[in-house]
Amino acid sequence: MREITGHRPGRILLWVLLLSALWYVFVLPFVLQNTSYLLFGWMPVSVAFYNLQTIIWLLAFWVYTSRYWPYR
Amino acid sequence: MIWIVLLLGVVLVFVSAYGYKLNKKTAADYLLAGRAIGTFVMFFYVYFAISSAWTFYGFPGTIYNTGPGFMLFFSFTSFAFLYIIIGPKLWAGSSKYGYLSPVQFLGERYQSKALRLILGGILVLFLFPYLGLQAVGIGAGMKAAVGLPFWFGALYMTVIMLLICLIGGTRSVAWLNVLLGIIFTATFWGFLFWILIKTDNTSLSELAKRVQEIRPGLLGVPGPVNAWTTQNLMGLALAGLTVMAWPHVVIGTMQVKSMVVVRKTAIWMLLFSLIFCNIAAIWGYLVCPILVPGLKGKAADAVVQIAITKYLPGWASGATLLAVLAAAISTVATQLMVTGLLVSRDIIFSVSNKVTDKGLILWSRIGMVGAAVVSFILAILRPAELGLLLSNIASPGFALWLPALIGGVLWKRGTKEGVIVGIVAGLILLIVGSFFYKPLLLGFHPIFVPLLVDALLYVGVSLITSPVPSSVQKKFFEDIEDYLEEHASRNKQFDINRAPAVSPQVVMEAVKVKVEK
Repeated sequence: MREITGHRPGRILLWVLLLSALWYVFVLPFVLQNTSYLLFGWMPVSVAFYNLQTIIWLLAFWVYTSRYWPYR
Repeated sequence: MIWIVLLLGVVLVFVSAYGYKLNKKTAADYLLAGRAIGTFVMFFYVYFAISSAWTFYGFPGTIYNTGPGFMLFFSFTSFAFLYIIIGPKLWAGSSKYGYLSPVQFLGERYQSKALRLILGGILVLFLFPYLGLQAVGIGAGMKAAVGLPFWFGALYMTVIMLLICLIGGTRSVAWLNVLLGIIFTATFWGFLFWILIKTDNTSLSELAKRVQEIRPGLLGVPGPVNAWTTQNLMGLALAGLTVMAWPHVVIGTMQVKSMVVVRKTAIWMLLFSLIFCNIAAIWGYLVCPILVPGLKGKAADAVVQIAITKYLPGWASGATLLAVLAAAISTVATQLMVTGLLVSRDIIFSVSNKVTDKGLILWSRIGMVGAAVVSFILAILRPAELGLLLSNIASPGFALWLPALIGGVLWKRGTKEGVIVGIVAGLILLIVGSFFYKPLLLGFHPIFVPLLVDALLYVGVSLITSPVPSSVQKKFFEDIEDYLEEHASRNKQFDINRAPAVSPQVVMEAVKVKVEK
Protein backbone atom coordinates (compact mmCIF):
# COMPACT_ATOMS: atom_id res chain seq x y z
CA MET A 1 0.00 0.00 0.00
CA ARG A 2 2.98 2.30 0.57
CA GLU A 3 3.31 2.83 -3.18
CA ILE A 4 -0.04 4.67 -3.13
CA THR A 5 -0.24 6.20 0.33
CA GLY A 6 3.36 7.40 0.09
CA HIS A 7 2.64 10.23 -2.33
CA ARG A 8 -0.01 12.92 -2.77
CA PRO A 9 -1.57 11.76 -6.08
CA GLY A 10 -2.03 8.31 -4.56
CA ARG A 11 -3.77 9.71 -1.52
CA ILE A 12 -6.02 11.81 -3.76
CA LEU A 13 -6.95 8.68 -5.76
CA LEU A 14 -7.82 6.81 -2.59
CA TRP A 15 -10.02 9.68 -1.40
CA VAL A 16 -11.79 9.85 -4.77
CA LEU A 17 -12.41 6.09 -4.62
CA LEU A 18 -13.59 6.12 -1.02
CA LEU A 19 -15.94 9.08 -1.35
CA SER A 20 -17.38 7.91 -4.67
CA ALA A 21 -17.92 4.39 -3.30
CA LEU A 22 -19.71 5.77 -0.23
CA TRP A 23 -21.83 7.99 -2.48
CA TYR A 24 -22.62 5.05 -4.77
CA VAL A 25 -23.74 2.69 -2.02
CA PHE A 26 -25.21 4.92 0.67
CA VAL A 27 -26.40 8.15 -0.99
CA LEU A 28 -27.28 7.41 -4.62
CA PRO A 29 -30.05 4.87 -3.74
CA PHE A 30 -31.84 7.69 -1.87
CA VAL A 31 -31.28 10.20 -4.69
CA LEU A 32 -32.71 7.80 -7.28
CA GLN A 33 -35.97 7.05 -5.47
CA ASN A 34 -39.11 8.21 -7.32
CA THR A 35 -37.14 9.61 -10.25
CA SER A 36 -38.61 9.33 -13.72
CA TYR A 37 -36.68 12.08 -15.56
CA LEU A 38 -35.08 11.05 -18.86
CA LEU A 39 -31.79 12.65 -19.86
CA PHE A 40 -31.72 13.51 -23.60
CA GLY A 41 -35.33 12.31 -23.65
CA TRP A 42 -34.42 8.63 -23.34
CA MET A 43 -31.73 7.91 -20.72
CA PRO A 44 -33.15 7.11 -17.25
CA VAL A 45 -31.56 8.91 -14.29
CA SER A 46 -30.18 5.67 -12.85
CA VAL A 47 -28.35 4.96 -16.11
CA ALA A 48 -27.07 8.54 -16.31
CA PHE A 49 -25.63 8.35 -12.78
CA TYR A 50 -24.11 4.98 -13.54
CA ASN A 51 -22.39 6.45 -16.61
CA LEU A 52 -21.19 9.52 -14.74
CA GLN A 53 -19.76 7.41 -11.94
CA THR A 54 -17.93 5.11 -14.37
CA ILE A 55 -16.46 8.08 -16.25
CA ILE A 56 -15.16 9.61 -12.99
CA TRP A 57 -13.52 6.33 -12.00
CA LEU A 58 -12.10 5.84 -15.49
CA LEU A 59 -10.49 9.28 -15.48
CA ALA A 60 -9.17 8.87 -11.94
CA PHE A 61 -7.51 5.53 -12.69
CA TRP A 62 -6.31 6.61 -16.12
CA VAL A 63 -4.61 9.77 -14.90
CA TYR A 64 -3.13 8.15 -11.80
CA THR A 65 -1.83 4.95 -13.34
CA SER A 66 -0.40 6.58 -16.46
CA ARG A 67 1.36 9.44 -14.65
CA TYR A 68 1.99 8.64 -11.01
CA TRP A 69 1.67 4.90 -10.31
CA PRO A 70 5.11 3.63 -9.27
CA TYR A 71 4.57 0.25 -10.97
CA ARG A 72 3.53 1.72 -14.35
CA MET B 1 -28.76 -23.51 -37.84
CA ILE B 2 -28.48 -26.00 -35.04
CA TRP B 3 -25.72 -27.71 -37.03
CA ILE B 4 -23.64 -24.53 -36.98
CA VAL B 5 -24.04 -24.32 -33.22
CA LEU B 6 -22.98 -27.94 -32.82
CA LEU B 7 -20.10 -27.36 -35.22
CA LEU B 8 -18.87 -24.42 -33.11
CA GLY B 9 -18.58 -26.77 -30.17
CA VAL B 10 -16.48 -29.20 -32.20
CA VAL B 11 -14.21 -26.38 -33.47
CA LEU B 12 -13.67 -25.10 -29.93
CA VAL B 13 -12.72 -28.54 -28.68
CA PHE B 14 -10.22 -28.89 -31.54
CA VAL B 15 -8.71 -25.48 -30.74
CA SER B 16 -8.32 -26.63 -27.14
CA ALA B 17 -6.61 -29.77 -28.34
CA TYR B 18 -4.16 -27.60 -30.27
CA GLY B 19 -3.62 -25.54 -27.10
CA TYR B 20 -2.80 -28.77 -25.29
CA LYS B 21 0.04 -29.39 -27.77
CA LEU B 22 1.58 -26.02 -26.82
CA ASN B 23 1.18 -26.71 -23.11
CA LYS B 24 4.34 -27.41 -21.11
CA LYS B 25 2.44 -29.94 -18.99
CA THR B 26 3.29 -28.21 -15.70
CA ALA B 27 0.66 -27.18 -13.15
CA ALA B 28 1.58 -23.47 -13.53
CA ASP B 29 1.19 -23.71 -17.29
CA TYR B 30 -2.05 -25.70 -17.21
CA LEU B 31 -3.70 -23.66 -14.42
CA LEU B 32 -2.16 -20.16 -14.84
CA ALA B 33 -1.11 -20.13 -18.51
CA GLY B 34 2.51 -19.98 -17.40
CA ARG B 35 1.89 -16.51 -15.81
CA ALA B 36 2.49 -15.00 -19.24
CA ILE B 37 -0.78 -13.44 -20.46
CA GLY B 38 -0.42 -10.08 -22.26
CA THR B 39 -2.82 -7.10 -22.33
CA PHE B 40 -4.85 -8.04 -25.42
CA VAL B 41 -5.61 -11.58 -24.31
CA MET B 42 -5.96 -10.58 -20.66
CA PHE B 43 -8.63 -8.00 -21.47
CA PHE B 44 -10.73 -10.50 -23.42
CA TYR B 45 -10.00 -13.24 -20.92
CA VAL B 46 -11.28 -11.26 -17.93
CA TYR B 47 -14.02 -9.26 -19.61
CA PHE B 48 -15.59 -12.28 -21.22
CA ALA B 49 -15.12 -14.33 -18.11
CA ILE B 50 -17.62 -11.86 -16.66
CA SER B 51 -19.81 -11.28 -19.72
CA SER B 52 -21.73 -14.47 -20.06
CA ALA B 53 -25.05 -15.91 -21.19
CA TRP B 54 -26.27 -13.90 -18.24
CA THR B 55 -25.16 -10.63 -19.90
CA PHE B 56 -27.06 -11.51 -23.06
CA TYR B 57 -30.17 -12.89 -21.40
CA GLY B 58 -30.25 -12.24 -17.65
CA PHE B 59 -29.11 -8.59 -17.68
CA PRO B 60 -31.60 -7.29 -20.29
CA GLY B 61 -34.25 -9.68 -18.94
CA THR B 62 -33.95 -8.37 -15.39
CA ILE B 63 -34.04 -4.75 -16.56
CA TYR B 64 -37.07 -5.62 -18.72
CA ASN B 65 -38.81 -6.97 -15.61
CA THR B 66 -37.66 -4.51 -12.95
CA GLY B 67 -36.34 -1.35 -14.61
CA PRO B 68 -32.91 0.24 -15.18
CA GLY B 69 -32.18 0.65 -11.45
CA PHE B 70 -30.50 -2.74 -11.90
CA MET B 71 -27.63 -0.94 -13.69
CA LEU B 72 -26.06 -0.15 -10.32
CA PHE B 73 -24.91 -3.75 -10.16
CA PHE B 74 -22.34 -3.12 -12.91
CA SER B 75 -19.79 -1.13 -11.02
CA PHE B 76 -16.58 -1.87 -12.84
CA THR B 77 -14.54 0.38 -10.62
CA SER B 78 -14.01 -2.54 -8.28
CA PHE B 79 -12.07 -4.28 -11.06
CA ALA B 80 -9.79 -1.29 -11.33
CA PHE B 81 -9.38 -1.31 -7.53
CA LEU B 82 -8.54 -5.00 -7.65
CA TYR B 83 -6.08 -4.69 -10.49
CA ILE B 84 -4.29 -1.55 -9.29
CA ILE B 85 -4.29 -1.96 -5.52
CA ILE B 86 -4.71 -5.65 -4.63
CA GLY B 87 -3.55 -7.27 -7.86
CA PRO B 88 0.13 -6.27 -7.83
CA LYS B 89 0.61 -7.97 -4.44
CA LEU B 90 -1.06 -11.18 -5.57
CA TRP B 91 0.97 -11.10 -8.77
CA ALA B 92 4.18 -10.64 -6.79
CA GLY B 93 3.19 -13.51 -4.49
CA SER B 94 2.64 -15.72 -7.50
CA SER B 95 5.76 -14.58 -9.31
CA LYS B 96 8.14 -14.43 -6.31
CA TYR B 97 6.88 -17.34 -4.17
CA GLY B 98 5.23 -19.51 -6.84
CA TYR B 99 1.71 -19.47 -5.41
CA LEU B 100 -0.89 -20.89 -7.76
CA SER B 101 -4.06 -19.42 -6.27
CA PRO B 102 -5.09 -16.36 -4.24
CA VAL B 103 -6.42 -18.71 -1.56
CA GLN B 104 -2.99 -20.31 -1.28
CA PHE B 105 -1.51 -16.79 -0.93
CA LEU B 106 -3.95 -15.99 1.89
CA GLY B 107 -3.41 -19.36 3.58
CA GLU B 108 0.33 -18.67 3.77
CA ARG B 109 -0.20 -15.05 4.72
CA TYR B 110 -2.54 -15.92 7.62
CA GLN B 111 -0.53 -19.07 8.43
CA SER B 112 -3.57 -21.35 8.42
CA LYS B 113 -4.37 -24.49 6.45
CA ALA B 114 -7.88 -24.60 7.92
CA LEU B 115 -8.49 -21.16 6.49
CA ARG B 116 -7.44 -22.37 3.05
CA LEU B 117 -9.93 -25.23 3.27
CA ILE B 118 -12.74 -22.93 4.39
CA LEU B 119 -12.07 -20.26 1.76
CA GLY B 120 -11.56 -22.80 -1.02
CA GLY B 121 -14.73 -24.66 -0.02
CA ILE B 122 -16.89 -21.54 0.11
CA LEU B 123 -15.68 -20.24 -3.25
CA VAL B 124 -16.29 -23.59 -4.93
CA LEU B 125 -19.73 -23.81 -3.30
CA PHE B 126 -20.82 -20.46 -4.74
CA LEU B 127 -19.27 -21.14 -8.13
CA PHE B 128 -21.88 -23.87 -8.68
CA PRO B 129 -24.91 -21.59 -9.16
CA TYR B 130 -22.84 -19.32 -11.43
CA LEU B 131 -21.76 -22.30 -13.54
CA GLY B 132 -25.32 -23.60 -13.54
CA LEU B 133 -26.78 -20.37 -14.82
CA GLN B 134 -24.67 -20.56 -17.98
CA ALA B 135 -26.19 -23.94 -18.76
CA VAL B 136 -29.60 -22.41 -18.02
CA GLY B 137 -28.83 -19.62 -20.51
CA ILE B 138 -27.95 -22.01 -23.29
CA GLY B 139 -30.89 -24.29 -22.52
CA ALA B 140 -33.32 -21.34 -22.63
CA GLY B 141 -31.64 -19.90 -25.74
CA MET B 142 -31.78 -23.16 -27.73
CA LYS B 143 -35.40 -23.62 -26.76
CA ALA B 144 -36.33 -20.08 -27.87
CA ALA B 145 -34.27 -20.14 -31.08
CA VAL B 146 -34.66 -23.64 -32.47
CA GLY B 147 -37.22 -25.31 -30.23
CA LEU B 148 -34.90 -27.96 -28.77
CA PRO B 149 -35.70 -29.19 -25.25
CA PHE B 150 -34.18 -27.15 -22.41
CA TRP B 151 -32.18 -30.10 -21.06
CA PHE B 152 -30.46 -30.63 -24.42
CA GLY B 153 -28.99 -27.12 -24.48
CA ALA B 154 -27.89 -27.37 -20.86
CA LEU B 155 -26.24 -30.74 -21.48
CA TYR B 156 -24.54 -29.54 -24.66
CA MET B 157 -23.10 -26.58 -22.78
CA THR B 158 -21.87 -28.75 -19.91
CA VAL B 159 -20.13 -31.26 -22.19
CA ILE B 160 -18.42 -28.64 -24.38
CA MET B 161 -17.10 -26.61 -21.45
CA LEU B 162 -15.81 -29.71 -19.77
CA LEU B 163 -13.95 -30.93 -22.85
CA ILE B 164 -12.35 -27.51 -23.45
CA CYS B 165 -11.05 -27.28 -19.89
CA LEU B 166 -9.99 -30.89 -19.49
CA ILE B 167 -8.02 -30.85 -22.72
CA GLY B 168 -6.71 -27.34 -23.16
CA GLY B 169 -6.06 -25.66 -19.79
CA THR B 170 -6.00 -21.93 -19.05
CA ARG B 171 -3.94 -20.87 -22.08
CA SER B 172 -6.48 -22.39 -24.47
CA VAL B 173 -9.34 -20.91 -22.48
CA ALA B 174 -7.76 -17.43 -22.60
CA TRP B 175 -7.30 -17.52 -26.38
CA LEU B 176 -10.75 -18.98 -26.91
CA ASN B 177 -12.12 -16.05 -24.89
CA VAL B 178 -10.64 -13.69 -27.48
CA LEU B 179 -12.43 -15.48 -30.32
CA LEU B 180 -15.67 -15.92 -28.41
CA GLY B 181 -15.59 -12.35 -27.11
CA ILE B 182 -15.36 -10.96 -30.63
CA ILE B 183 -18.33 -13.09 -31.78
CA PHE B 184 -20.33 -12.00 -28.73
CA THR B 185 -19.60 -8.28 -29.05
CA ALA B 186 -20.26 -8.12 -32.79
CA THR B 187 -23.63 -9.83 -32.38
CA PHE B 188 -24.81 -8.07 -29.25
CA TRP B 189 -23.99 -4.59 -30.55
CA GLY B 190 -24.58 -5.15 -34.26
CA PHE B 191 -28.02 -6.73 -33.89
CA LEU B 192 -29.20 -3.90 -31.65
CA PHE B 193 -28.55 -1.33 -34.38
CA TRP B 194 -29.93 -3.65 -37.04
CA ILE B 195 -33.19 -4.35 -35.21
CA LEU B 196 -33.68 -0.63 -34.51
CA ILE B 197 -33.31 0.20 -38.21
CA LYS B 198 -35.35 -2.81 -39.38
CA THR B 199 -38.32 -1.91 -37.16
CA ASP B 200 -38.10 1.84 -37.89
CA ASN B 201 -37.26 2.66 -34.30
CA THR B 202 -34.30 4.93 -34.94
CA SER B 203 -35.29 7.60 -32.41
CA LEU B 204 -34.47 6.60 -28.84
CA SER B 205 -36.64 9.43 -27.49
CA GLU B 206 -39.67 8.09 -29.40
CA LEU B 207 -38.96 4.62 -28.03
CA ALA B 208 -38.79 6.00 -24.49
CA LYS B 209 -42.15 7.77 -24.93
CA ARG B 210 -43.79 4.55 -26.11
CA VAL B 211 -42.26 2.56 -23.26
CA GLN B 212 -43.68 5.08 -20.78
CA GLU B 213 -47.13 4.61 -22.35
CA ILE B 214 -47.02 0.80 -22.48
CA ARG B 215 -45.32 0.21 -19.13
CA PRO B 216 -45.59 3.22 -16.84
CA GLY B 217 -42.84 3.32 -14.25
CA LEU B 218 -40.44 1.02 -16.13
CA LEU B 219 -37.92 3.81 -16.81
CA GLY B 220 -37.93 5.11 -13.26
CA VAL B 221 -36.88 3.95 -9.82
CA PRO B 222 -38.14 1.89 -7.92
CA GLY B 223 -39.42 0.39 -11.20
CA PRO B 224 -42.72 -1.21 -12.26
CA VAL B 225 -42.71 -4.00 -9.66
CA ASN B 226 -41.19 -1.85 -6.89
CA ALA B 227 -38.01 -3.94 -6.98
CA TRP B 228 -35.49 -1.11 -6.43
CA THR B 229 -36.39 0.35 -3.10
CA THR B 230 -33.64 2.24 -1.25
CA GLN B 231 -32.64 -0.83 0.73
CA ASN B 232 -32.50 -3.08 -2.31
CA LEU B 233 -30.55 -0.54 -4.35
CA MET B 234 -28.00 -0.17 -1.55
CA GLY B 235 -27.48 -3.90 -1.53
CA LEU B 236 -27.30 -4.04 -5.30
CA ALA B 237 -24.71 -1.25 -5.43
CA LEU B 238 -22.68 -2.99 -2.72
CA ALA B 239 -22.95 -6.29 -4.61
CA GLY B 240 -21.64 -4.45 -7.68
CA LEU B 241 -18.66 -3.11 -5.79
CA THR B 242 -17.83 -6.60 -4.54
CA VAL B 243 -17.65 -8.11 -8.03
CA MET B 244 -13.89 -7.85 -7.58
CA ALA B 245 -14.19 -10.80 -5.18
CA TRP B 246 -15.30 -13.19 -7.90
CA PRO B 247 -12.58 -15.85 -7.88
CA HIS B 248 -12.34 -16.12 -11.68
CA VAL B 249 -11.64 -12.37 -11.75
CA VAL B 250 -9.10 -12.38 -8.91
CA ILE B 251 -7.14 -15.24 -10.44
CA GLY B 252 -6.42 -13.05 -13.48
CA THR B 253 -4.02 -10.94 -11.40
CA MET B 254 -1.78 -14.00 -10.98
CA GLN B 255 -1.74 -14.89 -14.67
CA VAL B 256 -0.48 -11.65 -16.18
CA LYS B 257 2.96 -11.12 -17.64
CA SER B 258 3.72 -7.80 -15.92
CA MET B 259 2.32 -4.77 -14.12
CA VAL B 260 1.90 -2.95 -17.42
CA VAL B 261 -0.67 -5.57 -18.40
CA VAL B 262 -2.48 -5.09 -15.09
CA ARG B 263 -2.72 -1.32 -15.60
CA LYS B 264 -3.87 -1.45 -19.20
CA THR B 265 -6.43 -4.18 -18.48
CA ALA B 266 -8.00 -2.11 -15.69
CA ILE B 267 -8.35 0.95 -17.93
CA TRP B 268 -9.75 -1.01 -20.88
CA MET B 269 -12.24 -2.73 -18.61
CA LEU B 270 -13.67 0.58 -17.41
CA LEU B 271 -13.78 2.05 -20.90
CA PHE B 272 -15.39 -0.98 -22.48
CA SER B 273 -17.94 -1.44 -19.68
CA LEU B 274 -19.28 2.04 -20.33
CA ILE B 275 -20.34 1.03 -23.84
CA PHE B 276 -21.16 -2.59 -23.16
CA CYS B 277 -23.45 -2.07 -20.16
CA ASN B 278 -25.39 0.68 -21.95
CA ILE B 279 -25.98 -1.57 -24.96
CA ALA B 280 -27.23 -4.38 -22.71
CA ALA B 281 -29.46 -1.97 -20.79
CA ILE B 282 -30.95 -0.42 -23.94
CA TRP B 283 -32.02 -3.91 -25.03
CA GLY B 284 -33.79 -4.29 -21.68
CA TYR B 285 -35.47 -0.94 -21.06
CA LEU B 286 -36.05 0.52 -24.56
CA VAL B 287 -36.06 -2.10 -27.31
CA CYS B 288 -37.56 -5.28 -25.88
CA PRO B 289 -40.51 -3.69 -24.02
CA ILE B 290 -41.68 -2.33 -27.40
CA LEU B 291 -40.87 -5.31 -29.61
CA VAL B 292 -41.73 -8.14 -27.18
CA PRO B 293 -44.24 -6.82 -24.64
CA GLY B 294 -45.97 -8.88 -22.01
CA LEU B 295 -43.30 -11.32 -20.79
CA LYS B 296 -42.98 -11.90 -17.06
CA GLY B 297 -40.58 -13.58 -14.61
CA LYS B 298 -38.28 -16.28 -15.98
CA ALA B 299 -39.81 -15.95 -19.47
CA ALA B 300 -38.04 -12.58 -19.80
CA ASP B 301 -34.65 -14.33 -19.66
CA ALA B 302 -34.93 -15.05 -23.40
CA VAL B 303 -36.37 -11.65 -24.37
CA VAL B 304 -33.43 -10.61 -26.60
CA GLN B 305 -33.44 -13.95 -28.36
CA ILE B 306 -37.20 -13.73 -28.92
CA ALA B 307 -36.91 -10.17 -30.33
CA ILE B 308 -34.18 -11.20 -32.78
CA THR B 309 -36.04 -14.38 -33.82
CA LYS B 310 -39.20 -12.36 -34.40
CA TYR B 311 -37.84 -9.36 -36.32
CA LEU B 312 -34.57 -10.43 -37.99
CA PRO B 313 -33.90 -13.15 -40.61
CA GLY B 314 -33.62 -16.77 -39.51
CA TRP B 315 -29.84 -16.89 -39.67
CA ALA B 316 -29.63 -13.96 -37.23
CA SER B 317 -31.47 -16.02 -34.64
CA GLY B 318 -28.95 -18.80 -35.05
CA ALA B 319 -26.08 -16.30 -34.91
CA THR B 320 -27.48 -14.96 -31.65
CA LEU B 321 -27.55 -18.40 -30.18
CA LEU B 322 -23.97 -18.80 -31.34
CA ALA B 323 -23.02 -15.55 -29.59
CA VAL B 324 -24.73 -16.57 -26.36
CA LEU B 325 -22.99 -19.88 -26.57
CA ALA B 326 -19.70 -18.03 -27.05
CA ALA B 327 -20.40 -15.84 -24.04
CA ALA B 328 -21.39 -18.76 -21.88
CA ILE B 329 -18.44 -20.93 -22.86
CA SER B 330 -15.94 -18.12 -22.28
CA THR B 331 -17.27 -17.61 -18.77
CA VAL B 332 -17.79 -21.19 -17.80
CA ALA B 333 -14.44 -22.37 -19.07
CA THR B 334 -12.69 -19.75 -16.92
CA GLN B 335 -14.79 -20.60 -13.88
CA LEU B 336 -14.31 -24.29 -14.35
CA MET B 337 -10.52 -23.83 -14.50
CA VAL B 338 -10.66 -21.84 -11.26
CA THR B 339 -12.87 -24.47 -9.64
CA GLY B 340 -10.36 -27.15 -10.59
CA LEU B 341 -7.51 -25.04 -9.22
CA LEU B 342 -9.29 -24.40 -5.90
CA VAL B 343 -10.25 -28.06 -5.52
CA SER B 344 -6.74 -29.35 -6.18
CA ARG B 345 -4.47 -26.67 -4.71
CA ASP B 346 -6.57 -25.42 -1.80
CA ILE B 347 -8.79 -28.34 -0.80
CA ILE B 348 -7.16 -31.65 -1.74
CA PHE B 349 -3.53 -30.54 -1.36
CA SER B 350 -3.98 -27.84 1.29
CA VAL B 351 -2.68 -30.11 4.05
CA SER B 352 -0.30 -32.26 2.00
CA ASN B 353 3.37 -31.46 1.58
CA LYS B 354 3.83 -33.90 -1.30
CA VAL B 355 2.45 -31.92 -4.20
CA THR B 356 3.39 -32.84 -7.75
CA ASP B 357 2.42 -31.17 -11.00
CA LYS B 358 0.83 -34.42 -12.13
CA GLY B 359 -1.25 -34.68 -8.95
CA LEU B 360 -2.38 -31.05 -9.17
CA ILE B 361 -3.46 -31.41 -12.80
CA LEU B 362 -5.24 -34.72 -12.12
CA TRP B 363 -7.19 -33.35 -9.15
CA SER B 364 -8.01 -30.17 -11.01
CA ARG B 365 -9.59 -32.27 -13.73
CA ILE B 366 -11.53 -34.38 -11.23
CA GLY B 367 -12.75 -31.16 -9.58
CA MET B 368 -13.89 -29.83 -12.94
CA VAL B 369 -15.90 -32.96 -13.73
CA GLY B 370 -17.58 -32.81 -10.30
CA ALA B 371 -18.40 -29.10 -10.71
CA ALA B 372 -19.80 -29.65 -14.19
CA VAL B 373 -22.14 -32.41 -12.98
CA VAL B 374 -23.42 -30.34 -10.03
CA SER B 375 -23.94 -27.27 -12.21
CA PHE B 376 -25.90 -29.32 -14.76
CA ILE B 377 -28.21 -30.59 -12.01
CA LEU B 378 -28.66 -27.00 -10.77
CA ALA B 379 -29.48 -25.88 -14.31
CA ILE B 380 -32.18 -28.54 -14.64
CA LEU B 381 -33.70 -27.60 -11.27
CA ARG B 382 -33.43 -23.87 -12.16
CA PRO B 383 -34.32 -22.43 -8.76
CA ALA B 384 -34.58 -18.73 -9.80
CA GLU B 385 -34.54 -16.41 -12.79
CA LEU B 386 -31.09 -15.78 -14.28
CA GLY B 387 -30.46 -12.25 -13.04
CA LEU B 388 -31.26 -13.16 -9.46
CA LEU B 389 -29.29 -16.40 -9.52
CA LEU B 390 -26.17 -14.29 -9.96
CA SER B 391 -26.88 -11.10 -8.01
CA ASN B 392 -28.69 -12.71 -5.04
CA ILE B 393 -26.91 -16.04 -4.60
CA ALA B 394 -23.48 -16.34 -6.25
CA SER B 395 -22.36 -12.73 -5.81
CA PRO B 396 -23.12 -12.46 -2.05
CA GLY B 397 -21.35 -15.78 -1.54
CA PHE B 398 -18.19 -14.63 -3.30
CA ALA B 399 -18.25 -11.36 -1.37
CA LEU B 400 -17.75 -13.18 1.91
CA TRP B 401 -14.02 -13.61 1.36
CA LEU B 402 -13.52 -9.93 0.50
CA PRO B 403 -12.52 -8.78 4.03
CA ALA B 404 -9.99 -11.64 4.17
CA LEU B 405 -8.62 -10.73 0.74
CA ILE B 406 -8.33 -6.96 1.22
CA GLY B 407 -7.14 -7.29 4.83
CA GLY B 408 -4.70 -10.05 3.94
CA VAL B 409 -3.03 -7.94 1.30
CA LEU B 410 -3.24 -4.47 2.87
CA TRP B 411 -3.56 -4.88 6.66
CA LYS B 412 -0.77 -6.50 8.69
CA ARG B 413 -2.94 -6.76 11.78
CA GLY B 414 -5.52 -9.11 10.16
CA THR B 415 -5.53 -12.60 11.71
CA LYS B 416 -6.79 -16.06 10.78
CA GLU B 417 -9.17 -16.04 13.75
CA GLY B 418 -10.71 -12.82 12.43
CA VAL B 419 -11.16 -14.32 8.96
CA ILE B 420 -12.66 -17.60 10.16
CA VAL B 421 -15.09 -16.06 12.67
CA GLY B 422 -16.19 -13.38 10.19
CA ILE B 423 -16.66 -15.66 7.22
CA VAL B 424 -18.48 -18.43 9.13
CA ALA B 425 -20.87 -15.91 10.70
CA GLY B 426 -21.45 -14.25 7.30
CA LEU B 427 -22.10 -17.60 5.62
CA ILE B 428 -24.63 -18.69 8.25
CA LEU B 429 -26.43 -15.35 7.98
CA LEU B 430 -26.49 -15.55 4.18
CA ILE B 431 -27.84 -19.12 4.00
CA VAL B 432 -30.37 -18.80 6.82
CA GLY B 433 -31.47 -15.31 5.72
CA SER B 434 -31.81 -16.26 2.03
CA PHE B 435 -33.49 -19.63 2.33
CA PHE B 436 -35.06 -20.09 5.78
CA TYR B 437 -35.71 -16.85 7.67
CA LYS B 438 -35.69 -13.70 5.54
CA PRO B 439 -36.18 -11.17 8.40
CA LEU B 440 -32.57 -11.93 9.37
CA LEU B 441 -31.45 -9.83 6.39
CA LEU B 442 -33.40 -6.81 7.76
CA GLY B 443 -35.06 -6.22 4.41
CA PHE B 444 -31.78 -5.56 2.60
CA HIS B 445 -30.25 -7.29 -0.43
CA PRO B 446 -28.74 -10.67 0.64
CA ILE B 447 -25.20 -9.30 0.44
CA PHE B 448 -25.63 -6.40 2.83
CA VAL B 449 -25.99 -7.76 6.37
CA PRO B 450 -23.77 -10.87 5.96
CA LEU B 451 -20.90 -8.83 4.48
CA LEU B 452 -21.20 -6.11 7.09
CA VAL B 453 -21.16 -8.65 9.95
CA ASP B 454 -18.28 -10.51 8.29
CA ALA B 455 -16.20 -7.32 7.96
CA LEU B 456 -16.91 -6.09 11.50
CA LEU B 457 -16.06 -9.46 13.04
CA TYR B 458 -12.90 -9.72 10.94
CA VAL B 459 -11.63 -6.37 12.18
CA GLY B 460 -12.82 -6.83 15.79
CA VAL B 461 -11.51 -10.37 16.30
CA SER B 462 -8.24 -9.53 14.53
CA LEU B 463 -7.63 -6.67 16.94
CA ILE B 464 -8.00 -8.90 20.00
CA THR B 465 -5.97 -11.85 18.67
CA SER B 466 -2.24 -12.13 17.98
CA PRO B 467 -1.03 -11.15 14.51
CA VAL B 468 1.21 -13.42 12.45
CA PRO B 469 4.95 -13.33 13.36
CA SER B 470 6.93 -10.32 12.14
CA SER B 471 8.91 -12.52 9.73
CA VAL B 472 5.67 -13.49 7.98
CA GLN B 473 4.53 -9.87 7.96
CA LYS B 474 7.83 -8.86 6.36
CA LYS B 475 7.50 -11.61 3.74
CA PHE B 476 4.01 -10.55 2.69
CA PHE B 477 4.34 -6.77 2.96
CA GLU B 478 7.83 -5.25 2.83
CA ASP B 479 9.44 -8.01 0.73
CA ILE B 480 6.58 -8.05 -1.76
CA GLU B 481 6.61 -4.26 -2.14
CA ASP B 482 10.39 -4.29 -2.58
CA TYR B 483 10.00 -6.98 -5.24
CA LEU B 484 7.40 -4.90 -7.08
CA GLU B 485 9.61 -1.81 -6.98
CA GLU B 486 12.54 -3.80 -8.37
CA HIS B 487 10.30 -5.18 -11.10
CA ALA B 488 9.10 -1.68 -12.02
CA SER B 489 12.60 -0.20 -12.05
CA ARG B 490 13.88 -3.06 -14.20
CA ASN B 491 11.11 -2.41 -16.69
CA LYS B 492 11.78 1.32 -16.76
CA GLN B 493 15.50 0.82 -17.17
CA PHE B 494 15.03 -1.14 -20.35
CA ASP B 495 12.03 0.63 -21.77
CA ILE B 496 13.71 2.70 -24.51
CA ASN B 497 10.46 4.47 -25.36
CA ARG B 498 10.44 6.07 -21.92
CA ALA B 499 13.96 7.49 -22.29
CA PRO B 500 14.31 8.90 -25.79
CA ALA B 501 17.13 11.25 -24.79
CA VAL B 502 19.48 8.46 -23.68
CA SER B 503 22.38 7.86 -26.03
CA PRO B 504 22.91 4.45 -27.68
CA GLN B 505 26.11 4.00 -25.63
CA VAL B 506 24.16 4.38 -22.38
CA VAL B 507 21.54 1.91 -23.59
CA MET B 508 24.26 -0.57 -24.53
CA GLU B 509 25.85 -0.19 -21.09
CA ALA B 510 22.51 -0.86 -19.43
CA VAL B 511 22.00 -3.96 -21.56
CA LYS B 512 25.52 -5.09 -20.67
CA VAL B 513 24.78 -4.73 -16.94
CA LYS B 514 21.57 -6.68 -17.38
CA VAL B 515 23.37 -9.48 -19.24
CA GLU B 516 26.06 -9.65 -16.55
CA LYS B 517 23.40 -9.88 -13.85
